[in-house]
Amino acid sequence: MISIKSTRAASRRISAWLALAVLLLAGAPQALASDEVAAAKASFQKTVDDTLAILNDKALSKDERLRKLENIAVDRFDFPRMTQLVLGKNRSQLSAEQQREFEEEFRRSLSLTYGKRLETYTSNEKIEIGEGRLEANKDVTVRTRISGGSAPPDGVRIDYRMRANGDKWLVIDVIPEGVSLIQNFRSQVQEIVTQKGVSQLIPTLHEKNESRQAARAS
Amino acid sequence: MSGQVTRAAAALASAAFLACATAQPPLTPTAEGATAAVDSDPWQGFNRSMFWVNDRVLDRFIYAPLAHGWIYITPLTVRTHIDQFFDNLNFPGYFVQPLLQGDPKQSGVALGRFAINTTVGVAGIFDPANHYLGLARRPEDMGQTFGVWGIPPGPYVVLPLIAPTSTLRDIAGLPIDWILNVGDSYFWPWFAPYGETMIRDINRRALFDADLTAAREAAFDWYSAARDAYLQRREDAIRNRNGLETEAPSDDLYQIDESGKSPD
Repeated sequence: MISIKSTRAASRRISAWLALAVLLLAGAPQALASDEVAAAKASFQKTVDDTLAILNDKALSKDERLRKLENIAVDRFDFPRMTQLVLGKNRSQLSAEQQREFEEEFRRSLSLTYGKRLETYTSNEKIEIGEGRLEANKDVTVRTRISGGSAPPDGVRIDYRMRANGDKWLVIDVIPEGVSLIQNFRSQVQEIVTQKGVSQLIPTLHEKNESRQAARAS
Repeated sequence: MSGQVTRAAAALASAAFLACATAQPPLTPTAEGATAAVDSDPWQGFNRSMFWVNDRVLDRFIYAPLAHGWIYITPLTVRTHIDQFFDNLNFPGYFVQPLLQGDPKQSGVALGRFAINTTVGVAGIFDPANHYLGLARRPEDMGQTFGVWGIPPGPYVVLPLIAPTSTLRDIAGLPIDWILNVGDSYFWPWFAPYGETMIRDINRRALFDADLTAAREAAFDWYSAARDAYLQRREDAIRNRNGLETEAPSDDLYQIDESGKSPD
């Protein structure tokens, strides 16, 4: 299209078009998606970048890496809110102190699960951040797909539900292949409360975490 | 023999269930979603015993050891390709079900996948349709179609071997799946049924081994965790049709219950 004999005028016109195209491309995501979606996605992207930086830092020991990842998780996940959601209507039966204990066990359980998961990480995994969706209650769901490396051949679809807390967008649910973590834990909590009574809830969680930790250590 | 008995029983249950289901007004998907995890397990006593048999006897002493042996003698790629081979045989179901769901576009995807993967993909062993054309695998079955029609999942059901986790609705769909989803079918030639289903099931069990172990380890109550995961997966598969992928699950889940005292 562009001939070698292009005049200065033509090249100026081309650079003007290029500048416009760059402007349009840069402006498009913000213009199309709402402010909420853009903010949530930006926050999520940062979490991904920080996580990958730690995962790919080969100088870190296994324990250091896990501790750093836990710090990120505490910073970017809204554990108090997740705890409230998981407890659902059972929350009214727990004191503020018990709710904090529950949150602690819940967090520890996730740390044990994902700590183990990350051991299979090969650094060939790719995470694609897809579209964000503004929910009716102003939460934002960010769709992602992980493929390559330790992921199955068709990849894994993981949605992250985020909610604004002040000016920070924090993850409140992780939904791999349509299975909400919050919903899944909530069912288990309900089951334990129904079967054993609410007084046994925290001891059940605590016991399980202890035995997992012991199995991990040996 | 026992395969025929269970098939006949399921066919009966299927007919009886459909009769009941059509007599009742279908629940709306949101109402169903909101209560799914709580009210859906009236036969829990029976289910828990069957779950125990499946999990602690059949899986622990038969399936898991066989799967571990299989993992030991086959590389992951071989297991992946075997699974793709069986999945490709499910074409009739993957083609017919979307038509019944009013989603002919997805039937076209299934047709394209079958044509490409059976030829270029060497009898379905490879999946060039996904790798080169982005036509991703999407399992479809009768239970999903019932769901799209508005039939609620009904009670949660656990049966040994044939339905490790299921619902009355999905069990009602099984006889049709046995005919249409050939790769998932117990409908293979009478002289070779057990070898085929064994290879398929052990191979699949092997592919999911790490996930299964992780899920079992992470659960505070494994029975309800498995039940909830199944119910959620099914709702997702039903919701997840072309054009409806963006439909959100119920927002109720994300409503913080303020009926109790506040934490601070």
